[in-house]
Amino acid sequence: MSLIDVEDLRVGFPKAGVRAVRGVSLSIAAGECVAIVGESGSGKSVTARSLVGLAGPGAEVTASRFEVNDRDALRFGARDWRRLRGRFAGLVLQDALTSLDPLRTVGDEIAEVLTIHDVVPRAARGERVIELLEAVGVPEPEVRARQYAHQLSGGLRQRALIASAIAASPPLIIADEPTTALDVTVQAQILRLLAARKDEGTALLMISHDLAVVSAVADRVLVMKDGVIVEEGPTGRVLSAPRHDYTKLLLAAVPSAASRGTRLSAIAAGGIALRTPLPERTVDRTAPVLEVSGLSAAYGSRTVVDDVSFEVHPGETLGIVGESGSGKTTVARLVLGLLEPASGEVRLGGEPWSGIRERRRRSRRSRIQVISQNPLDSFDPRYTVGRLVAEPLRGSSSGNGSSRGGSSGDDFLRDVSSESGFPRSVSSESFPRSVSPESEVARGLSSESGFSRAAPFRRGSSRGVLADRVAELLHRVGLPADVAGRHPRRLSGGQRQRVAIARALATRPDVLVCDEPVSALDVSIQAQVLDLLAEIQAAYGTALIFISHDLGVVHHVADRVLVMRGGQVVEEGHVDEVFFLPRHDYTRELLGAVPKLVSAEP
Amino acid sequence: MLVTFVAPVVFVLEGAGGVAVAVPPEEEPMTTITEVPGVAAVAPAAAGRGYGFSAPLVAPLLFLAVAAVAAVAPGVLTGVDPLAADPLHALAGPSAQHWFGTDHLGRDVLSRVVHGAGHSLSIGAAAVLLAAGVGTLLGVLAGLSPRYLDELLSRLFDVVATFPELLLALLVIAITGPGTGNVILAIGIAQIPNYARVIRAQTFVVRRSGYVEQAVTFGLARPVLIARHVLPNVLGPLPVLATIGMGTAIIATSGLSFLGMGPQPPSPEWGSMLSEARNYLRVAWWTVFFPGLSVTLTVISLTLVGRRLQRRFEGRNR
Amino acid sequence: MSTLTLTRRRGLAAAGWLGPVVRRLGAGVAVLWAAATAAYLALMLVPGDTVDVLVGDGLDTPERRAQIIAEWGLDRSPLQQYGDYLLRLLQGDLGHSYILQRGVGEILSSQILPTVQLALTAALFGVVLALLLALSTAGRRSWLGGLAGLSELVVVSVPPFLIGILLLAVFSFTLGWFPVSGDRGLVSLVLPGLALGLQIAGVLGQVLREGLERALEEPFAVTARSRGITEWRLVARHALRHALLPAVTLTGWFTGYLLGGAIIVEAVFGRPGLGQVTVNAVTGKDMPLVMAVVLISALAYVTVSTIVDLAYLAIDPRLRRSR
Repeated sequence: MSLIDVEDLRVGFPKAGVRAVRGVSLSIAAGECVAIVGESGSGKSVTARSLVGLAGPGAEVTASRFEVNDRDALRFGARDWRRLRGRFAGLVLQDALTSLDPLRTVGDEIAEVLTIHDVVPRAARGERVIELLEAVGVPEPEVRARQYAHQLSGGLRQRALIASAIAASPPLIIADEPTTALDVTVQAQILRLLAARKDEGTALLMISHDLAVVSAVADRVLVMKDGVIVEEGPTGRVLSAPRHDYTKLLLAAVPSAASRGTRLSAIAAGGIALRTPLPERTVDRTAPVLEVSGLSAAYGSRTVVDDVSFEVHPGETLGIVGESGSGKTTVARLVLGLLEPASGEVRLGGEPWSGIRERRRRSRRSRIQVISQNPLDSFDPRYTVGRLVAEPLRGSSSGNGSSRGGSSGDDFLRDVSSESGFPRSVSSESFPRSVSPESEVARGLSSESGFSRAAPFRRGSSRGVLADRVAELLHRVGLPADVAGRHPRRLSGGQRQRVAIARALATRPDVLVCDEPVSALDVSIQAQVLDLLAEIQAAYGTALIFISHDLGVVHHVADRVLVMRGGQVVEEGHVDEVFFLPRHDYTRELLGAVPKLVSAEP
Repeated sequence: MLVTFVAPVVFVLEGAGGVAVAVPPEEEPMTTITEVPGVAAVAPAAAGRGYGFSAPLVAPLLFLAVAAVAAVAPGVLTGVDPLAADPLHALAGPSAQHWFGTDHLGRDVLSRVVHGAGHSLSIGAAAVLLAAGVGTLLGVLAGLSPRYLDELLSRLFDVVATFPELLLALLVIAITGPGTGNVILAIGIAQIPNYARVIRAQTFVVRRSGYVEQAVTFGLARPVLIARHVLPNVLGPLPVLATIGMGTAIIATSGLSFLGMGPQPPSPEWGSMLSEARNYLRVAWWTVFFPGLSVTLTVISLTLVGRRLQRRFEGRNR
Repeated sequence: MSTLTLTRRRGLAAAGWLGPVVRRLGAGVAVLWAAATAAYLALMLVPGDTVDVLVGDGLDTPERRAQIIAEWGLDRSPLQQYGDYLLRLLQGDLGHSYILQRGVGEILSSQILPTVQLALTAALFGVVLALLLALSTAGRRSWLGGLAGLSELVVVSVPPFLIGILLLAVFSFTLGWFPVSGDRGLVSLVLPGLALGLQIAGVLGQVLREGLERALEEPFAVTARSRGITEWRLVARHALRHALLPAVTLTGWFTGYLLGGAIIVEAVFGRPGLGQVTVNAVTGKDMPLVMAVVLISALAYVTVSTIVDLAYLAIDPRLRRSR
């Protein structure tokens, strides 16, 4: 018997001119776990919500057959839908912090289902709430029931949300990205919890962008793209022998240990996803470009970074992994000189970088740049792409280019000579840079205008050169030149991140700090951005500090890795060593929690 | 809250409802912009995204253009002397000769309404200029200052804001006496805290924004950073605030005039015209209707234009 | 659930109430003190002789000047003067009107009742109308919302005294339903209350409706709907509280508006009250009286704001954390 049986489901939003779902057929049998996987905009969420009549305001839903619980849902009125919701199907959304009413206690939220469907007598509701919280593994349920969502940890919140979804014992749970906002270890717990519900006979419809997440739980997988299902089948088969090119592309795009040194944005051709190698990269071991020793930082009385030390060499990628609150982003801010350490030291290019005055740091800032998770936040809202990318090249910041082909290094020297008796840096000359067309341009620029910090960019003649340089940088990151006149708001997430990379490259930094640079992107876009970063690194010998919560991504990109927890480095070493032979319990726990994907590789 | 500008508008000022949990100890508790310049601005502000009712801008802009012409060059719209009394034709209804009728002294209402625009609009504009100018200066100063100075200034804004605007204005007039210049001073001073608070909150948001931090990594010197990234983004909401604030100021002006504190008779001013006319309401509705309509349409037009500006501003910042 | 509520109440201090409550009360007192000081400084900083300022347009006799100097302690050091001033305020002594030759406290207490009645009536009208407007139009057919939005815009754009005049024209002159002026019981409160309350309804209605609409789009609203809740219940149990948060912050502004607006509306309707006293005091430059009115409004504002802040704690648990 099918709980849900839909044929040719179409959902459109005529006012917005969007056809979100364009002919989807799906059925869910009792006790079965079906997963819909797709990237953003694929229509997976809308599909799932339509099944309980919650496609959203202004939605037009049609289907040639739409049976829910053996009744014809095409004839449902608002009241029919309401009776089904909660009782027939419970919905679990992404982030319990916003998906639970922040102004009501968790207990009240769960009790609401009991009240609406009159599941238990009024007097027994309080008790039932406690039982439900217990059932989803919330410790001290009596205390938790009285608390608000914001007072609970992410994992407990999500459990509470699940408790409210199962309160009326529905035969179906629809979970829309139920673990996306969670740390891996918590994600693993929530997935176990959902799997346990399934084992007890509850059917599960999982919506996710992450193939690995669903592979552990789902019996069948539907892959959605642009409102249609491109492939469906048993989970094992879809993952091991994908038939549709898009599925292959998706699988190939997932970074992992196996994908190291190869491109992720592979073109699926003739049944096998081809892995093409990335350009060779050399690490210069003679002297570290960045040294961090005994670094600590605190917000008020709370220590967020505690005795962290590491070195990064030119051309090397250092991965930093950790869950939320591990202090990894604070390390980034310390390294960038945006935060003064409470103790310890940062040295950049062999010279002190922390504990000096901002005035002395300013001229060297072009040597270390950052890209972050949400590039839009880092763009001045008034600026066009061209202006954004040109900004680091404009006056008052850094000059670019040098007679030796090194940009920032020379700038550094010039500043030093103009500013104080600062010793010449040897290290800045010790890493030769590859000569590329760009450095030609840079050289032209510097010889023509010769601008320095003291002389802000103002000459008309150099304006054209600057525009050329911007076009060059945009080209380098794979964006068409006409993007320069556009506003980043009009670009996609991947394009925005490319703009951020172009801007970070403008000064040709020695170190590029990447703080969760691909976390907000879809897998296929993530693949392109990671490939781009790898190319750039190979071409310029930039050192990367790559911060991520995603162990697969870090294993793919990093040479060495630091595992952080509670502000401390619990383990460090070569990425293969740490990830294949973890010594610390926490690393083991982390690795164990990562959902495993049956690889598409033969 | 939120300020989005209120943030209310905060604007900005996003969010107040922001989740307090995530706020690190160092952060400013929460930007709560409650007070907005004036009635009209309050709603959009507090609502954050709220635009309220909106309509095509053609009519409001056209009306404001006519009002501006009336204010600058009333002679273009009417050739009649607003002060010329004609007791024989007092309280005459609208006719071909007097489109808007005449008042109790037989003066042409149309001419008085047209000439009144000059008083009402210029008082409103000058008061906004005063309030926005001083308010912005103080707001930016507070927003960029070290913590103790910011605290001091903010508390000062709070204290001034405890006095209801109209009463503060009356206090100023009690000291200075009635008259056009004093009304400007009174309304301007009363509205300073509104602008100061919104701009301060906005400065805070911008100062802590990702793009300002990013600009630090480019090695920009502090003055350059402030001039290039902070100020332009802080001042962004100002046109919105000022437009909507001008509507508020015009209402306040007419209120003070109504109480007899504004421009003294016989000069035509919409509020004082209404004050005189209400005694003849039963026999001559036009003496109330036309000046009343002028005030109302002016404020509605300003509000609609302001909301459109706000929408554009927010669209750009989202 | 009742057991939950019980424990909630018992754990008042533990739940983080105490700290924020004490902090807010303290802040209220501090602001009041600062407001009193600001008013005092304003008076002292007025150019010219303070005695002249205090005499205003009243009779300027040597005896009166001597009385002023004695009462304000103008012959003593500034610090002593200021201390005396605060001390007098603390004792509830608002000073002396040299024009009316009566104690300010006496004048105000005889006139404050009608004004408070008017303000409360207006607040009641405003809140009830706003709630009706918001609840009946939020998230519904768009033309209804548009209509409500338009009326809100018009109402907040018409000066309150004009609303008063129009109400008089329609309901008193034409229909004869209500008295034209004066204070004759509850009936005479209706029109002034409406004139003053409509603006509040307009602003508050707009804020509430937009707050409701925003709350109804939040993820928690989707979750609630997925439980099978009715739209009505969704609004009542979830969305309304969220919509109240921004609305509640406006209460301070409303208080100021009511006090200021009452002055004008009283003038329109010829009602007795603080309005007439204030207008006369301002026209006659009766500074002690004007200052007293200003201080009383500040007191009202601070009191209401503090209550609102505390109400906030009740509505939004996220603020209930003591540091």
